Amino acid sequence: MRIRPGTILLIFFAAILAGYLTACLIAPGHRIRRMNREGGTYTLVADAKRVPDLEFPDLAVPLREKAFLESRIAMAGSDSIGMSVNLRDSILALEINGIIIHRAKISDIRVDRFFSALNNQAYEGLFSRPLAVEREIATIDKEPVIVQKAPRDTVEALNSVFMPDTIRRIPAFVSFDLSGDLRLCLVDDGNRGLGRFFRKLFFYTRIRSRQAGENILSVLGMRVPTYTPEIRVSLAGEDIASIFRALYGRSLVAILI
Amino acid sequence: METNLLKKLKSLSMVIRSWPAGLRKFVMGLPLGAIGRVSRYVAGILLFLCLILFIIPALQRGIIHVPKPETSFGSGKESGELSRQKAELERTITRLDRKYRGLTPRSAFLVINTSGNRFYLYNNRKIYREGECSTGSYILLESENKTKWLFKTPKGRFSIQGKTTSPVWKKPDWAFVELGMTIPPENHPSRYEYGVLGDYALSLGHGYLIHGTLYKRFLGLPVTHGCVRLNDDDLEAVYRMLQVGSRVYIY
Repeated sequence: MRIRPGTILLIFFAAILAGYLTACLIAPGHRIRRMNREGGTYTLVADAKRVPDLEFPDLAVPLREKAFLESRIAMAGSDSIGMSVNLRDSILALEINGIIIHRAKISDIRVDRFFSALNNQAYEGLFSRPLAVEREIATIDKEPVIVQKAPRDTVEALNSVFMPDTIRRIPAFVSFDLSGDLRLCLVDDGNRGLGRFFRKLFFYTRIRSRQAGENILSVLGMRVPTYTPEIRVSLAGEDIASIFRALYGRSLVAILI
Repeated sequence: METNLLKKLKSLSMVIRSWPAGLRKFVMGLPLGAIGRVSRYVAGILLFLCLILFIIPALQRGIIHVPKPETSFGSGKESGELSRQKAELERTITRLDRKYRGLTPRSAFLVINTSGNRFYLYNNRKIYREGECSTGSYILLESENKTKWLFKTPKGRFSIQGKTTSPVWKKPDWAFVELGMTIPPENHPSRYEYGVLGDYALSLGHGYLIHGTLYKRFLGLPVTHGCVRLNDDDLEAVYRMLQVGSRVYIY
């Protein structure tokens, strides 16, 4: 029996897809097991004294609060603007030197199940220090620069007086890839028009395609891809713009789940 | 029945006629089987993209096993240990919370939001006054000789470097360039303008000021060349409350 080249290609493609799918599906469990065993990304919790203390599940709430405060105090040592995300009180704040300079109310929260599967030790290892912003993707400009040519004379200057656009508002979606392989997404909770839908679709397509690219590279290198859990919070678009434009470089982020 | 079909075919041909010539030629040139094949490929690619970009990530999230929370009240010894640990943690949290709250100064400081064009004057850890201001317009002005100026308000932590009453504006080069005027020599009388900065000015360093404005209708909008404009009453309150060395946070 002669097999057509198209069929061979199809089988090859299906095998790659199956491999990719398997690798992607085992990735979350693999990461959770590793973190629960090692105690988070930062292995600063290696001292034997505290390990049994953290095994009580009832200590989860105060331990998380302690980790958040430690993280914010560490963040206050930096001279840059940082962000604190308190999912318990639904508040996202900008802070500098421990001073809250902007506070935004979170209207909706979606937290990956990944975080519920972490034990106390892994949680503390991950969140007791501020995380740094590694990469960001946004639908709005960091600096909304408007290029303007200088007028040739006073008459031209009079005709080209700049007036800021106060009506046009672009739906704001921002994603921060944080150290420790986490992702924080800020989603505009504004009007639900078609424009917003397409912005959101393009935004998530950008994030997911980059993630898929990284996963494919891992699979080709015979490694289990790194699962990136996501925290998604909805805020007013104005707040997202203020927060996104305030953060520069490797800004620090403290999170309480 | 036939007339319906004819009508549909006619409307389809109208749609095709409205396409660009190149596309129309390409589609009309395709045999019926080819159109079917192309649409199958397109559907396959879309399905594949959906699988990779949305379905697999959703499956990943869905299969995560979350262990049931178990109570740790086992033996009496364990329970006692838990209470001791909880008490210890509560003490640590109180201590950390006090430390964190202590970071906010009791002295007056100013916070400026350049995205929302609002200011917040704090004193004794409470908002003393808030309102509209104007900050940098983000205009990048390009002159004929390719010199560029970006009119943005700097962000970060600053402190008041100096305070003046009845400030005089010494116009920089861009003030002439943006009006289509020739740049006068340094210290030329045309560079000095009186009464345009309001009654007070507070310096943030590097030429950036917090000052008043004649254009009060623009307050709340990004229209300045980098300075922060306030209305007269707010400016007076800020001037009186902030001392040289007081902190100003701009974001």
